[in-house]
Amino acid sequence: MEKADRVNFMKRSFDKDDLIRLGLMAVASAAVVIVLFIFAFIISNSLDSVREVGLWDFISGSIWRPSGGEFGAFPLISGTLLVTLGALMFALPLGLGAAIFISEIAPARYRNILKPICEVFSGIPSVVYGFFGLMVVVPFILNNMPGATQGESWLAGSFMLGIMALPTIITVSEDALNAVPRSYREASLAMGATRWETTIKVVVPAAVSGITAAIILGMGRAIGETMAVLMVTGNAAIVPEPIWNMLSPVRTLTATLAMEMSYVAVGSTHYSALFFLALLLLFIVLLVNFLSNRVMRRTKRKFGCDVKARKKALLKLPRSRIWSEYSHLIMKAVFVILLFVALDSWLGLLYGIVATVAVLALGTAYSRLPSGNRQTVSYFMMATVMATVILLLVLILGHIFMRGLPVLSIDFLTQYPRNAGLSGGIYPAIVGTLKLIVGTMAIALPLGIGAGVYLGEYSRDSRGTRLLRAGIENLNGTPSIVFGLFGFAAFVIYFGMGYSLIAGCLTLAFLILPVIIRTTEEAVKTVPPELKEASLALGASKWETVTKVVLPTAFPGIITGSILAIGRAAGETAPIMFTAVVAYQTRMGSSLMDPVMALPYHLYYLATNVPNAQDQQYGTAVVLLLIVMSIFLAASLLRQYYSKKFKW
Amino acid sequence: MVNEMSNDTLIDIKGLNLWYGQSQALYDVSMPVHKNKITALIGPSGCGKSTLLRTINRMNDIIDSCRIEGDINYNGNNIYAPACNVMSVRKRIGMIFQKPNPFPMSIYDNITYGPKIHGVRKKEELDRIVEDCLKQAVLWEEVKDRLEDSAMGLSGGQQQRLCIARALSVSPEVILMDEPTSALDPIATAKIEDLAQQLKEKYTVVIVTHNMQQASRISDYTGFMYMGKLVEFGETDDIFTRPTQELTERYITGRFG
Repeated sequence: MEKADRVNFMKRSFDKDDLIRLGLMAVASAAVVIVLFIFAFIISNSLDSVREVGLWDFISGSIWRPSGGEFGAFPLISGTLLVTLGALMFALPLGLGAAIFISEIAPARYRNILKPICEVFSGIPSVVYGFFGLMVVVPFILNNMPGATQGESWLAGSFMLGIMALPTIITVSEDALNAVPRSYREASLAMGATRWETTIKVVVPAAVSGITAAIILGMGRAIGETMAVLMVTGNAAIVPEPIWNMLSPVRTLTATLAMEMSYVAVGSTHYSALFFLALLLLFIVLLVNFLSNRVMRRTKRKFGCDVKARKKALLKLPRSRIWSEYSHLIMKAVFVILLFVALDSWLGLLYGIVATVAVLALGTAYSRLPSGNRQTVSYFMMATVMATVILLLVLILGHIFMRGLPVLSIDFLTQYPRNAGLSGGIYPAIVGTLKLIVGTMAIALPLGIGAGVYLGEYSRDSRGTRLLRAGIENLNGTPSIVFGLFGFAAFVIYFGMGYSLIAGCLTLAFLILPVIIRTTEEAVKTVPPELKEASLALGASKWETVTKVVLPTAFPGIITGSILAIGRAAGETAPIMFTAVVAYQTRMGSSLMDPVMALPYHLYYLATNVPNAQDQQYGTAVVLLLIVMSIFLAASLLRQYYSKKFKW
Repeated sequence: MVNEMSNDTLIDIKGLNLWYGQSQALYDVSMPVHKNKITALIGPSGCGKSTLLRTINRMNDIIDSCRIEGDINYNGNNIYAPACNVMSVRKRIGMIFQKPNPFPMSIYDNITYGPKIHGVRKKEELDRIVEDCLKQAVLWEEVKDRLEDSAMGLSGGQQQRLCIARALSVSPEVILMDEPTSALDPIATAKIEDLAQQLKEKYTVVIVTHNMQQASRISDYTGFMYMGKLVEFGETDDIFTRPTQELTERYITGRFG
């Protein structure tokens, strides 16, 4: 006691705290190394083909025929861009309308239900979207669109991608609308504006940069998407003829990678060309990420504490008046063009003119309404949009559950598949998916949480940290098929792991690592600094403060974020299809080096290769959905539990 | 002026300069802290009084851009000496913050956090510390039946007294208080002020306050700071009745600040 009561001047030059800091730094640096490694690997592998074909010929060439040695990526690039643009056509009105409805119109208690409902969209694995598209949307287009010769088309791809981009657009724009200070709304209402006028003239313009970021992020999601487009776009490497013919099949960069990786000869020009496609894809996605980050940063500045920046930002507001003055004209023009495009004929133009006149008439009628009625009409329109969004969700889930639930039986869940998947069960796929989940967690959690704690608690704002953050940011936006390609080339071939459980787990772990790092960092940073100070002021060391105060307080955030990431990994197909899975197993492997079956890939395989196995397809889809959704449900229950337990 | 080297000087601040990045926050501050007395630091917002307080237990260390020159001698040893163990300094020199900051744990765990960090394991010992500290902080009667409840459920004034009890739990010699009543209502403030008076029998207290009445009510010594400089330091009675500096007089009579 005597000794403890004196100030200790015998500090060791290198103590436990330093050791821990170094250890965490090493973990965080490993993340940088991984990022650099992925980029370096893809770039170095793509060089051969660029040298052989020539950069310009590669990008602008109009024929993609690897078997004939022709590598013209233009149709693939155009396919990617067209499908994405088409997706925005569906996602924009639906997403923005729903966001406005949730944030501005719905009563508070419905808001808390509607937002999670919209988030369910992001929980559905992309292979399930693809499956739904193949079973429902593709036949619908074939039977109902005039002039359709096949259902697999640009239109089908864009429709599915539009739905998949919805959750991103809705949540991010809803957040942006919500972040608009209440004082803005009150100022407008206090002058006698209706709530709708306030929404359209004050709230939406104030949130415009956040909404823009939401749209760009949604686009990014659509560009990187693989399985859904692969299954519904028809995959013909052509530029639509004419360019607006949405009924034409197209092929995206991602789909090309997914199709051709399975048979390409390692080391050939074709192999290298695929890496170049991945590089192109990365480039597009990074560009999109970069844009959305810049726009986001502007929003933060606008509502942040920096008074100067805020003044500047507010001065910019009137600019949106230009938009509001000309928006009617622009919207009408777009409307005409779209109709023209959609119907691909002079008849389309006629329809367009008729529709424009109708819209004009309606618009005039609308603007002559008293403002109260105008609000009613607008609210009704927004509510319709919201209802459409929910209806879509019900349609997708309802269709799959109605057809799939009756298939479920003990036998289906516990037996091996027979007859190439035509009959029997999906037992090895279920077990394989669970194995992949566990293995992925074992790799990603320690690495991700360690790096996140380092970034949130230890790092200073140095060049190294900025590099790390940028790397993680970019890794986060990287399409999952690029991870698949990397995993195949690096783990399966280069490190000689072959198609194996371990290669799949590593690939999936890399995929979710950035999410885990970021959620950990965010969670750690939301721990109030006062708590850390209180602990330090009691003489606790940094590490004691981290383990006893920071981590327990941040735990709910870390655990829910990690579970969400795991849920995402569980539903992924693209990263495992060339690293870990086989289509058919009659006996499960027992070691880490054996391949596994997995539900997402099994569904893809059945849907595209075993057309007569409809029962098995729907059954597999239902089991996959149940697993993924119960993971998400667990995360949201945990979050609710903790938010009740800790309050300050 | 009191003799700065009098025998009861526990902490002696000498020639302290402090920078946050490029901007200097403290200019050549020298001041004694007397044992078992209450020393108050007053001055307008942004004058550096909280910064000065936080240098005494090296809490400024956690701010990256912060740079310090000068000495603070505690019991005759410079706490800014390279060999000094920061954790043991903070154990001896505790701190109460502006906003009550209990951990989101039970009342019991809040108090035992510090002792556990410093190696106390025995249940009876911990129980004794909890009761003893809560009694010293005049909180025991209010919470003794709900020690396992979350500290977040206490009122603001109770939370602040809990934080004081928590600071006492590692048996410090000095307690630094950074505007401890600024977030509290008048009744809770009065309780904390009473408590500070009682604490000085066993501890040495340094308190930063915005409130001049508070300083004159409870402190024995007062330092007036302005723009990073210690303008005047002396016995509280002297400072408030016969300040030697015009600036001090203008401030305490409320002509600026």
